[in-house]
Amino acid sequence: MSPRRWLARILPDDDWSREFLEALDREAAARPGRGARRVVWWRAILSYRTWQFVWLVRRRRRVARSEEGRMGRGLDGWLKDLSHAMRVVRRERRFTFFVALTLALGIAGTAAMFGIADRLFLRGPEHVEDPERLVRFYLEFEAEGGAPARMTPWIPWLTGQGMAAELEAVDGLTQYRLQPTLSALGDEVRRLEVSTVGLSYFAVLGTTPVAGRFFGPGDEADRASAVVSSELAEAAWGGTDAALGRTLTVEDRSVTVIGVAPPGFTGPHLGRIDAWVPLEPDEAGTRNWMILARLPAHRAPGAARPRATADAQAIHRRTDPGRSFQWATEGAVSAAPLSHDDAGVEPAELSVARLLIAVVLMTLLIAGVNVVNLLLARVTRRGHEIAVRLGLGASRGRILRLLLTESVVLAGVGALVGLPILWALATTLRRVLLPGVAWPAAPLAPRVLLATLGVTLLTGLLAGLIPARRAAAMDPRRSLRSEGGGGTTRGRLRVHVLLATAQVTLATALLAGAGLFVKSFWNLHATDLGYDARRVTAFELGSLDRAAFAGSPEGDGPIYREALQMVRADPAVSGATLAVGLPLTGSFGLGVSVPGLDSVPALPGGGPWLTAVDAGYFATLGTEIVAGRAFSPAEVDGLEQVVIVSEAMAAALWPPGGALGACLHIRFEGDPCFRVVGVAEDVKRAGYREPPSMQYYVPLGHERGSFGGTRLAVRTTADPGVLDRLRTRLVGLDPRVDYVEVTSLAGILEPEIRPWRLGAIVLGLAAALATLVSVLGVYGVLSYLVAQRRRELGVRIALGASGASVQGLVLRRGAAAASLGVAAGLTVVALASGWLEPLLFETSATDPLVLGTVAALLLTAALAACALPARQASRVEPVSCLKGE
Amino acid sequence: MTLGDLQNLTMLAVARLGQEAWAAGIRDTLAEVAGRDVSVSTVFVTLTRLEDQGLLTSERGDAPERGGRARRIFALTEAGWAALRETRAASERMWSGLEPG
Repeated sequence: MSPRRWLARILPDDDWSREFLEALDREAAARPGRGARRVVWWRAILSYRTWQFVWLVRRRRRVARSEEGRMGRGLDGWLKDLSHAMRVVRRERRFTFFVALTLALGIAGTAAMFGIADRLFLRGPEHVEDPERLVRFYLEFEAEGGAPARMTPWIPWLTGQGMAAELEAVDGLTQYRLQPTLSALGDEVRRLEVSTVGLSYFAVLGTTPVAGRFFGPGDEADRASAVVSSELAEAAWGGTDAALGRTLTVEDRSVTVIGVAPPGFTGPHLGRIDAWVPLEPDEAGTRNWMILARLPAHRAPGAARPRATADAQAIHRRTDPGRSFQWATEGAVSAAPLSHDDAGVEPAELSVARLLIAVVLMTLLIAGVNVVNLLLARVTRRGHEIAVRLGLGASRGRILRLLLTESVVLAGVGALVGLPILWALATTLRRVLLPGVAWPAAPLAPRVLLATLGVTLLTGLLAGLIPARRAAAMDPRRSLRSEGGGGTTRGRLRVHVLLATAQVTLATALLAGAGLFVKSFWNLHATDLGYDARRVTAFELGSLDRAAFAGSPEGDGPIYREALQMVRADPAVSGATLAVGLPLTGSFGLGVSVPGLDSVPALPGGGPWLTAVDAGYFATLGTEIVAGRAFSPAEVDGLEQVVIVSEAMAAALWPPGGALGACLHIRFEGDPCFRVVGVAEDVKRAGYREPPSMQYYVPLGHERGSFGGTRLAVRTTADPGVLDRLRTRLVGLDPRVDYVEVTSLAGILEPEIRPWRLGAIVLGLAAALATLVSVLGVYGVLSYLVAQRRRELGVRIALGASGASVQGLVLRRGAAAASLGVAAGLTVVALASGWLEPLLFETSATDPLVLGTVAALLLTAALAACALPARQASRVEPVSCLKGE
Repeated sequence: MTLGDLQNLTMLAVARLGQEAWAAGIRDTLAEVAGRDVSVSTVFVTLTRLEDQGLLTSERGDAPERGGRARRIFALTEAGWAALRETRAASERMWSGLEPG
């Protein structure tokens, strides 16, 4: 290499350095002879001054660059980037619209679910300190007759007392119950959610009052004090301070308000509570209580829980024997997190909410991938502009920052568009998914908005990263030569195809999930409950005086009979009946025996369950008598001991057809024999998912022992005002009736259906959106591919390829990507099936019908999306595209 | 600030040349007027340094002849003039009293 070229390579490529080289050129040219000229150059290279010059001009360039960098980094540069991004966003309206809309849906969905997750998992109940360190204790016991073990949060009093005194593994422990109570507040009788709590309850929860004080020593003894919620204080007395010193009645006694809990406080659980009263010492130990404890702070909750469980179990073993029921004595005590329900498991709402969070994150991901693809295509379109910028000396870092700012601004526009969607979505989700949860924060609470901001920034940055990097890595010379159209290598195209495939994968998974939920929902709806829940309403008569109906030996029987007569007279009532142990309102398990049978087999649904009914019961409820007959009015009023058994019970206890006329000994006093006169269809007593159980019916009044819980069940025609009318009349029926509780059976079943309905709706919407976006994605990528390969396609056609074969080429490419995506999506579903199946109802996570339909649907949609680009490909004019070269 | 010898002479050359103060011309002036034969590299280093110090500015001038390249034309800044005057004053103060008259 000649000394000149060598020096030229070391020096930066600017005019000052060029002038330096030219000055040397001139000096060399002035010398006679080639050797002398070379000497000039060699002297220059060996000169210390030359190297000083090289160093100086290089340093200049470095300084210039870092100054430009500073300009870009500082607030000024950032504002410049921002205003540039705003201009671009405004200029490209259509592009902005699509990107912002896609992101808006993703961001709004994610933020709405964050709001729910925040309440359910992250924050726990309001005003409770470190809820993750709180545990509730459960008793796991073997059900009678070998049915599967069950969990109950109800723990004998003495065990709780023993634990309070001796349990060292916890920092505090309290016993409590929840009970709805009728209460007189001034002239009005209301149904209040009251919690009877130990004195340390508020201390264990770590809550402080907003007015007055919480319970202290002495409150337990006189039991005349109460703490009320801020909401009740506002509604009843107009303020928290005004509530202090007021009285209300709770279970026959008058209590004085000594303190007010903070707004939104709902105790350890998420349901509304209106008032708290101190518990009464239960020396006889006949009642069971829920137990709440705080795990010590110095150990992780997961590590502290087993120790608390083991110690509590030891205390229970020592304390309980001979004191309470045998099942309780033999049961095992364990501790579980606060979020678990009364059965000791995570409630379905929680699992579904978690699933929905995963779903919205997937939707956000699909939306993000789509935006990545759109931005990538745009970088190629804007290749010329970017090349010019690079050519004018913008550093690659600057270009990167510029494009990232653009994508973040786009995400910001998306978030703004998404705010109303977020509000609507959050409000709906709260009302529909979790109406039982108290929501102290607004749908657009600061925490949710903060999360929205975070999601927006993250989405903007992540979606912009790949396109911005590609733009920054662009070779300006190549890009300028090919006027922005070039620069697309096979590898780059592969990224587009891969992203579209990923979209199809996610869309498949979502669509399959939606299909499975719709099928579960369908199965749930098609479940035969054994009665018509939709049109039956239960009425319960309540009195402030618990002994109000105790005057007559028949208890509340006479007043309910009077109510029955009155209700039947209403033209909108097509049937009415009385029952003790009406399905969905309570179950009474009472053992039976059959002559000639050593033991009664156990069915998984437990029981046998007893219901005492009057003559119109089966017709009113719509429960079919499959053999024999229903009770006659004479049997209800008479003394004859007759019984109707369920199909499952008949099948379990007698040979086929042998039930009618058989004798069933019921464990009333004296084990009387009841003659079977009919067999009724099986009934789901507690809800859709109940396994089969034995059920039997006796005429009302023939049940013996303390059952209580009589209900008036009314079947109404579609008259919207009928329930209010009946309630008003029932309140006026008798001065002892203070309050009438109206419960529709469908309303009781509603929470059980809710998670599936919501899952089906949210997943369905997300899946529809995902399918649309991914189909558009496939379309976009194929159009892009056709545009990029115009020349190749033109050559093919010029060489005699038919339109059909060119179409086939494009379709094959699209079909390959779509099939790969669908296959991957189905694999994802199959892998997640173990996690998905518990959330489904009588539906396999790999249901071939659902998965097959989903695959067919997506492939069809994807191929339809390929059709247009394929047609374009087959119509490429060879002449026009070669002319363009 | 006062200038080094070569810096002083280079600045004076720029001042003398006015609109024609490009690198090669400055080098010729240094040789013809001051009798200092300095290498191309030295002139370029000096000019670059003076510009970095803010004593000179430069801009691309017109091409001197048809087909020729544009050259960088130098000019003194305010600071450059001040430095020249200061150098001269220092020099005169040092001279004063050494030579009568």
